[in-house]
Amino acid sequence: MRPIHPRLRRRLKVAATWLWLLIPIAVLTGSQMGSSRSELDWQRKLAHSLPDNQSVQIDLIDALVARGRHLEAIEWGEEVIRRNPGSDEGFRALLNVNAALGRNHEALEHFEKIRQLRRANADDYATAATLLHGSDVTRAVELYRAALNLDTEHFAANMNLASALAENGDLTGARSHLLRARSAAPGNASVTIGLAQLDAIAGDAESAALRLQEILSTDPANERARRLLREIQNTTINEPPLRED
Amino acid sequence: MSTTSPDAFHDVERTDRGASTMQWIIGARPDLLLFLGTPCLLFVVAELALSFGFEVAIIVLGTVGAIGHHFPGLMRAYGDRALFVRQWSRLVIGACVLAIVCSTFIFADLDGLGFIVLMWGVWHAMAQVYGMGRVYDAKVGHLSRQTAYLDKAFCVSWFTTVLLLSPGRIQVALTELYKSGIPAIAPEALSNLQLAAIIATSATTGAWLLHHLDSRKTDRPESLTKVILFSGSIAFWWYANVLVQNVIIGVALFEILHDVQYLGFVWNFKNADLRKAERPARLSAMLFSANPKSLSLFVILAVVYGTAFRGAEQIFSGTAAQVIAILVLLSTLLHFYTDSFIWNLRDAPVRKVLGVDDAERA
Repeated sequence: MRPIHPRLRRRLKVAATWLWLLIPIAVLTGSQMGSSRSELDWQRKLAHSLPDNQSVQIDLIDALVARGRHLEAIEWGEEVIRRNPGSDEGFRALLNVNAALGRNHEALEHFEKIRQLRRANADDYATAATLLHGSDVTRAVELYRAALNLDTEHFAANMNLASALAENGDLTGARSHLLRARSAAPGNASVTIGLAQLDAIAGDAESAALRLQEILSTDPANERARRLLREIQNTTINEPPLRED
Repeated sequence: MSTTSPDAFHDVERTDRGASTMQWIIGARPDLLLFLGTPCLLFVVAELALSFGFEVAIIVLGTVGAIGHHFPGLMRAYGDRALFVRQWSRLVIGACVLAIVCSTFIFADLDGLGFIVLMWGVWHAMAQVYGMGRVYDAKVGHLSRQTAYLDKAFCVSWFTTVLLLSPGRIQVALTELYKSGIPAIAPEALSNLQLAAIIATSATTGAWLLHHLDSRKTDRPESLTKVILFSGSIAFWWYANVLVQNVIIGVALFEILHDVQYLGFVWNFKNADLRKAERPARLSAMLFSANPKSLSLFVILAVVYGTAFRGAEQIFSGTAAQVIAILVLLSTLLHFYTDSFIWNLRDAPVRKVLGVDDAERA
């Protein structure tokens, strides 16, 4: 058999090299014609291919929640913990989805699972405490305190604990936690409103009004501050600071 | 198993046997610093940086270097008159085709090029390690085709296996594929692929080791420096992709190794070329003379090239950002493409500059 001319061989080699690039380009471009390329679609495929990759699974649950598909997110989360019963991330996702849906009982069950795994973080404690705040304030306070043991600057835990303490008449404790929340989020209007409410309850209407006017000077559309200011100017307020849900 | 024919190497200058397996590309110290010892050095630096929270420094260095090191390669591809005359069709037509591909993908908002860049990037990283290994073998006069094939199989199998076993890399690769609308791959298929890769790599490594040991019995054994280069680079590839949990840091770490080895190799090559040139170009003399000023200027230009692109990516938005994205992609793909032939040991001028045996093609 006649050997291939070196020049022809070189050209064939160059052509073959280009095919290595052009064939995948053709396949990848062709596959985009007419098929769905939504973010949720490829995240589903990824979660299907990598069932043991926790971050991929949690990303899909987050994506489903972001699109309002909570029940589907719960189904997927249950599949994650069925496959990996030690997955605190799976339980955490279910805690948050159920909490968002108002399914407090189910959410708290998942919180207990995280606690049993000894992986509960400050966010988990704060979420569970918020769920209990309406029905069992004593337990909620315990959980807020547990959250703050893990993260003293936790904003929601400080805010909500302040609210719970104010409800129980502990205005000093409530003020101390609001001040901690302020140091975690300086300039936050909710904290200033909370402090104004405490001032008003303590009978210091002038200081309360000053705080609310300060908010309205930077955010004149703040309806909550406007309403409270109106109430303070008319009468003395005696309701506890509002909760951060 | 005989790997080489002694008759084929009749014109190679030989010293004693011990020295013959430890030939250097630049010299013992620079080779240890830039090619062979770099994985160990980087491993220590990376562990310290990760322990002390300097992750951002690794990422910045890796991302700037990832583009910056294209500059010397492109300079060689398009600034070397003799090379351009030899390869003009590839250098011109190739660049045009790649520019069309990049522009189409960016302006038509198509997915998939990310997957191609990722795969070609892994191949490119592997090819650099393999190519430098071949240079080390050529330096000791070991130019067997069988060794070259086994070296390639060894490098390809290890780089592929690590890629398949790296949770971060496989996630990125699948994401890019799925964004293009490719159907989902079953997890069992992925597990089987991983198993097949492990078996193939074990078999290839066994064959490669036996072949290496066999070559020790011949007059022209394989280079020991090649073995050190392969072992260090592949171990670092494993470390960066499997042991380092954050995929961005892992990619940046291997990129730094790749860039150091590449810049060292290119500067040495151009320096040797300059020394052999009768009438060297002024720019070449400025950048590749053997003095600290030239060396610094060479590194600074690479850093400026990388920083300019990365900076522009951060600054611009809209159409300007799309143009920058095309230029970054083009620079990357052109670097991968041109590097596949501008350093080819089969080319006599390349062998001449590197000062390796011309008796048989590597």
